[in-house]
Amino acid sequence: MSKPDIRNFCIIAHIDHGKSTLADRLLEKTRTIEKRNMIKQVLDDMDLEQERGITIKLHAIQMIYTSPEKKEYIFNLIDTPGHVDFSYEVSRSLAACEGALLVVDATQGVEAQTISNLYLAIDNGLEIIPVINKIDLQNAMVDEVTEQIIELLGCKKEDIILASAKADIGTELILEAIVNKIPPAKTETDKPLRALIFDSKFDIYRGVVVYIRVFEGSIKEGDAIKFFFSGNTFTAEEVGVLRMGRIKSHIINAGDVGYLIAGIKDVNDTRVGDTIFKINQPVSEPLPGYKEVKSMVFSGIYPSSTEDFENLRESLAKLKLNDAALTYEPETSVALGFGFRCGFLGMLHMEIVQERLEREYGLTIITTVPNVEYRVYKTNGEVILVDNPSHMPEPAKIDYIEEPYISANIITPNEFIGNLMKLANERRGVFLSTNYVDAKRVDLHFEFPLSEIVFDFYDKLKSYSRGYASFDYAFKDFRESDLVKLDILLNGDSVDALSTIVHRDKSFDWGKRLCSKLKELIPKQMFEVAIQAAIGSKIVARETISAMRKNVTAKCYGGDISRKRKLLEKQKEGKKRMKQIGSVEIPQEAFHAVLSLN
Amino acid sequence: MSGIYIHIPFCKRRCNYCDFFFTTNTKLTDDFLRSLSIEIKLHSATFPELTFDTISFGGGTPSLLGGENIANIISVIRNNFNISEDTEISLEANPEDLTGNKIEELQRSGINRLSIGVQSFIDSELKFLTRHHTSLQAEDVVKRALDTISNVSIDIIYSLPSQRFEDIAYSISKANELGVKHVSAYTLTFEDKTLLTKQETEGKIIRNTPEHEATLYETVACNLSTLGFRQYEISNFAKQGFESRHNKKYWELKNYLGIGPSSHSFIHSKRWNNVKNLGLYSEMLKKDELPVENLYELTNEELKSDFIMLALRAGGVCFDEYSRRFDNSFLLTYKTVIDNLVRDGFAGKSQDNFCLTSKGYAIADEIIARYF
Repeated sequence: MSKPDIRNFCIIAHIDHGKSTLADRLLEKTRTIEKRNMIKQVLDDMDLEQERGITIKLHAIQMIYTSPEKKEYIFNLIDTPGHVDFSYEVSRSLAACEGALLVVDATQGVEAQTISNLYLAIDNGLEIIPVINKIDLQNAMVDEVTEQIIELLGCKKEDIILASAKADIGTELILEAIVNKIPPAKTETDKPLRALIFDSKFDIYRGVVVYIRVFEGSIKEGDAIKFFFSGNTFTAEEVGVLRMGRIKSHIINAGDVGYLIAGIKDVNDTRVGDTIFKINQPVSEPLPGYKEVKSMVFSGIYPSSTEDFENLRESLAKLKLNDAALTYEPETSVALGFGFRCGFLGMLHMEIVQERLEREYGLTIITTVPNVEYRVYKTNGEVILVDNPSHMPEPAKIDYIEEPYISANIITPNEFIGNLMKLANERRGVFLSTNYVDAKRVDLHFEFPLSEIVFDFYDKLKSYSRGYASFDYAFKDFRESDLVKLDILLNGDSVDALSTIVHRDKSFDWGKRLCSKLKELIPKQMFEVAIQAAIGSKIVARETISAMRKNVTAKCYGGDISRKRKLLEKQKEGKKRMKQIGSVEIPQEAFHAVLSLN
Repeated sequence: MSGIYIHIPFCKRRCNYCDFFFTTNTKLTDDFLRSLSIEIKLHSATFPELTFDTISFGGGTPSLLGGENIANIISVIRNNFNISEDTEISLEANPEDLTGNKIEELQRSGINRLSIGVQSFIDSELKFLTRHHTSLQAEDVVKRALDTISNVSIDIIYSLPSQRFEDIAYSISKANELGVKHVSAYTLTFEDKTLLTKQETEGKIIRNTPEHEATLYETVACNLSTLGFRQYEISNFAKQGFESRHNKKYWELKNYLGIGPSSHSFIHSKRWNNVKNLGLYSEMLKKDELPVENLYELTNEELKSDFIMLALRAGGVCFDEYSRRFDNSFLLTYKTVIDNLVRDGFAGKSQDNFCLTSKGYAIADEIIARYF
């Protein structure tokens, strides 16, 4: 019997457009998993993913499909993360495929993120199978969405599959399209091994499990292997395919997808996009497309109580085992003590890390306002990277500063163009072009300083467009900007954790709003507290919190001390959660003041 | 010396600000008095080493009981405990109960200190507080009480919604004019499940701002001290020699035994309270069972923090007393805190005592929670 044909594919969809449900349906139809064993959306197996309804880490799964003509095919479904922060990981999992299902929600239409991922897929030469999902819903706009897809892909109407993953409509058509439209994977087993790493995860018993797509040659147990970019060498201890669990297969041949265990202790040794080859069959060319993943957004993470510092260190180390994109290094803050400066791919990535630290590791943490990384050209010719506002050199020592810019696409119904132009203007956006996606929707192309979108941009975007606009971005370049460091002083003491870097034109307004926000958040103290915003030694805004004059419960009821005691214990607990700056006690929310400025 | 507190759980009606335990069913009085006697007798052998020099009737409204009943209770107490000769026997009274020769009756029963629930000398304020006496009645009662039992205290409630400084100043000067020796001045508090809180929730009344409340407090403290009343606790002001000996037991971590439903006790580092329910209270005593619950022995740390908290709310931490009790030096343990608080005018320090000032009392909770 000849080896079955292999189809490697992924699903491109916006959050909530039904990717996971469709994946479930395919697994069920191919009997990869019995219906009764299904927990809803098996591919998203982290709690947090299920809760947020988004796939954060990609996974792969193999199915055996038997066609109506009784021919067997191997389907490798490679799942992709659904958020802009993880676009590099998306690009690598796309590179492992020959085709993609483009899933669009019939009630929502095409969204910015779908488009950017679609372009990535087309760039990677993937065959696209368009699917309109949720056609059974009352508010489905099948005609409009069909029109959008035709506009986008230049395909024919009859190429588009109408489906409802939930109601199991169109699933067979999708399976047949995978067989008929997606090119079979090439099986050049006689060439030297070249395999692409598209993901990895840490298993406490086996070390790092590497997910690979073999393009040429084959990898088998016992092979001495080397990673092209990291230069690390290992021995393949176990290889296999991915079904509902890992299944040893002793060998993975060209064209197939599987896993590799090689006694690797650290996920950082297995960089997504790297090429694996055999030491005894060196290759001169890696597979294309490798990039070093860089942190875009930075934030200080501090334990709420200082004695948790070691716990935090251990927790970050454990998180990092599964998250190579997370970076962290120790830093100290006058205000917050010992903590870590952490680097993230983007805001979502940051939120996920924070939430996992609190939920999975039971820590209470304080995070400082996120910022981007600046390139500072000093007057002495030195160029430094600054990822912490409090490390910004004195103004006199700075020649100029460059900040990261992104290129952004916003897709919106055309009635909100005016609102979004206003938002872009507020955020120092540079307008580039408009393209009509269909008669009613436009794709606005902008460039923004990354710092302007790291906080609350997404919320603003949604509120300016009544929830309809969607947004996608990619790093563009560094550009010179007139930036200043804005410090916050409490009774004359500078609070390093509250320093921010802002554009000079915005600094006065920013300082004013920050001071008044802090006035709201910092409770009255025994003394008057002066809140000042300063650029260098120049005070640009000031607020005063008057001294507390009364805080006492009048009576100890007929010798009932316990009541009084309980009240005091509660107050003491509250104080423990405060941070002491000089003589001023600051609640933890104050460190997020900037985030809620609007 | 130790103190005895007797809780009389009856009121004619509930005042809008009150969340204390009481019943309006005065038919239960006889049954209650029988239970009280049983409780006193059950306790009699328990603390033979203690001598008591205060008996305090609180409530509820102890003045609802006749002089005879009071006399009986005092006599049962005298028969079952070591009672010192010069014992302070005080009773809380509502002005409307002190009619006819009630004051003389009470005096004959042994009461030598009266604490009268005047609350205000302004009729509109009394009405707001749902009290059932007028300012004239209050003045008359206070005068007669002072003639009969010279040791008279009055309760004042201040910081009524949008109360003016001159309003509270008027009640204070009236009290002084009448010759009262002691004033307990409490801020109006909005307790859960009171009519007052309900009125606030419904938007019918608006609570004072903390600023306004603070200014009223300062008016009270300043005016009383100008008139020669010494602030010896956050809410208590007395002429020389007229401090409440009983209340000081609470604040100085002395032993006190509570009798009656919902009363609290603290003896030999143990705290407990009696059950709150009058029916259950009587039922248990009929079976010769003490109606005690929440019995708890404080650790040394808890004693220490209670000692500091209570002392700072009242006459201050006595250094000798502190080192005798806890075997270390208050001054050394809290040196920086003490110096800073004294420097900033929140506290004063003498050779043997550290005490909050009036300004410090006003934010006592903050100071205690933050530093002690």
